[in-house]
Amino acid sequence: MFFMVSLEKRMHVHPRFFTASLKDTLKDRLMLEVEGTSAGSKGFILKVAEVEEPVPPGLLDEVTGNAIFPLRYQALVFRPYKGEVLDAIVARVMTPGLYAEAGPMTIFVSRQQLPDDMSFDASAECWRSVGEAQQERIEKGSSVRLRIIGMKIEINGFFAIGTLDDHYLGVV
Amino acid sequence: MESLEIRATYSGILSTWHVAIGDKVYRSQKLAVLTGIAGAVKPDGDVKLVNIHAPRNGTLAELRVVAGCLVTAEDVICTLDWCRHSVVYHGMCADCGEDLTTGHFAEVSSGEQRLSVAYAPSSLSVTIDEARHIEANNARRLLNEKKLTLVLDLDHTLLHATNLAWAHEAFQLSNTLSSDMKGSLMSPRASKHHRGVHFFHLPGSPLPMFIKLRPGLGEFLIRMVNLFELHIYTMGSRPYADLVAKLIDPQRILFRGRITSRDDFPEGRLNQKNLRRLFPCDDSMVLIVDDREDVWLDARSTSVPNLVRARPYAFFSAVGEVFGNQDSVELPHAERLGHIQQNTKQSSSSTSEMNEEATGGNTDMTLSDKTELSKQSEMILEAWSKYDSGDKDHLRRLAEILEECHGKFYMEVDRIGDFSLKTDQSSFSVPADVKKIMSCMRRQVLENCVISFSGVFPKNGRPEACQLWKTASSLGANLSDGISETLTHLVVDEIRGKDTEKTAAVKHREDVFIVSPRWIENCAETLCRENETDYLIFPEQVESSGLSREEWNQQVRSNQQKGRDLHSAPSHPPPTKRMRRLTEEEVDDMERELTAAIDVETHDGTHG
Repeated sequence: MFFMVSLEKRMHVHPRFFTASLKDTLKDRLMLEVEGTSAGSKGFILKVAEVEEPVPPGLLDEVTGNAIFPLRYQALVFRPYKGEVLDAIVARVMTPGLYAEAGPMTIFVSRQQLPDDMSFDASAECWRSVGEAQQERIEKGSSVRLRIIGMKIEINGFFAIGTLDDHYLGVV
Repeated sequence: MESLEIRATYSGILSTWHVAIGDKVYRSQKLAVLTGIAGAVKPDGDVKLVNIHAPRNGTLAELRVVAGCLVTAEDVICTLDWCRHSVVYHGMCADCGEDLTTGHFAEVSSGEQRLSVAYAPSSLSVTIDEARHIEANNARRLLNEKKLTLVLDLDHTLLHATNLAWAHEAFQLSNTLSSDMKGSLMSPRASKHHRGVHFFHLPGSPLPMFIKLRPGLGEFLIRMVNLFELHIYTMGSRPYADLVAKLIDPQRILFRGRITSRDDFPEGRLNQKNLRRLFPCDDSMVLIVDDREDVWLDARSTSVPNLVRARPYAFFSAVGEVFGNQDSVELPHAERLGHIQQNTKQSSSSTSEMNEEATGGNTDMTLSDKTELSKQSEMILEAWSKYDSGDKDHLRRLAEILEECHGKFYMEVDRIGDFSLKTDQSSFSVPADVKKIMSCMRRQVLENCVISFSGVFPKNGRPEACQLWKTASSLGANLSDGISETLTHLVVDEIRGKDTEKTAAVKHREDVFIVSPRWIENCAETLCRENETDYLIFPEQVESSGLSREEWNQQVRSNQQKGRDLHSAPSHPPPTKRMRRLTEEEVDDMERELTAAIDVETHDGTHG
């Protein structure tokens, strides 16, 4: 799910930027540094919406000479939760299951969590439903709707376990 | 989800429950208390209590007994739902979503070994049972399609790669001279990709990489893809492996991402390959083609029966001898070419083929360079065609060997018949074994050969420990130290063995081949009994006999066969000999004789 969160970051600024456009430099640098990274349990920062004004004064660090600005800003984050239903794109299909990606997060759906009538077709590299019911095919690049049944937040990103075995879940 | 029933194990009164339905419990957590156990009063008057603990992690599904009830030892008091956690992704169970690395739910049974899935990132791990299940599914699929698995090595087996500077020359030639090239070298039936020398840039390396594909590679792969599922296992880096795969399999139909490089597993850096990484439970349907056996060996094994050893292909080393491997001579030349290459790359916007860029670069060279090139080009061409024509049959022979093994495997499978495939049977076992078939095929190569050696092994060592001895015995030959009547071959070292006693003793015999050790090595490479006349130490034996090479070979072999028959004939008649029946005539004759003898006596008048 997407949220607007208030975050804080301590920006280190080299003295060569101590000009009239210091504020703009600060904002640009913030966006560069923070967009596209994970903010731990707060989520994955997608975009900085706005920086809180007024910008607080910076403190000089005696050792390096850099100024440290504790910036507060509003950001759009992606924060998935256990139990959430979301859409993802299948990245890889294998015998034990499949990998789907929802933005920065990779979700693994094991074969137990796929509908019972599906089996792996190695030659076509896809999961195919066998039987007279509607022919569902899941392969690399298909869009699927899945529910997250387990999630883990680690330093380098989010990892989740998903399921496709429920009403209204599956290929979209 | 499995269900486990928990029994009371003591007869008494279940006094209290410490958990409720739906609670998550961990192993050894207290579930209930039993009191009033018969004969359970302690000496000091206290009533003994027994706690019931959970045997494993799980969720409480049902409570069968109400608190305060009487229970017997066999009564089920509750049921526990637990998950096998057969597939674990980043520490989470893929079936129940439980995080297995935290707190009470940390996987206590660490005795359960986990394996990683072939071609999946290491963040995915499975239990041994699950791995067996996955492999069984795979094996079933292959059996249905009548295929086996083939793991191929890249370097020196299917191709030769180098980044030596003078390899530029060969590359230039392969494009500028392709019009008047000798057609046989370029294998015109193969696709454009399998001809000549290719070149690409490895990211992170300053030098360009040149690749020469082995002659006959295209046909080999086409032949193999119908009978085998192909995999690549190389000691190159991951980017290298991906680039080469794209080169020989541009449409991604042959390998489909089944590529293992040295960066994928930690032992890769130690120059070790391990089949168990890809096939952890069962390798009886896997064949390997590699030019080296030692990379596959680990501490426990001394041979790899799945391996079909290929002759190493070292194209650039062969052609390099033309230049005497003098980098200093070639480097300025190549550098200039390199510069020209880069310039054309920057300027040309439409060309994506490396070939075209090189030809563009070539035309920028000055006249003096061109004449120098043509002189060396003669030498290169000669060395090139010589090396390739000597090697072009090898891949074909390998393909034949692999097809034979495949045929034998499926003949065995058909013979055994229906091996009752149940859909979820994890104890499914493959009916035949490729290792046994290959060992059998190898042993047939030199069966009926009795081989002795002279001047080959050092006197004070153990010949059984030497590679040549081991090779010969794996090919089914009988090896001995001395000379015997049944000897068929004497393997003699060209330098040290010509004048030994053994050689002298055998030289005059017409049923013994005196060959060089190269004969055994070549037999091992092609897996068939090579023509001994090509490896003779004393070629005058053939000349002096006046026969053609073929005829002489045949003669010696038939002499050997005669010797074999002689030695295998029984020295005394077999014990159960068929009784000879007496004919009517013979019976009559005997009777007449007898009566005649009796009459003679009666004539004497003594008997009546």
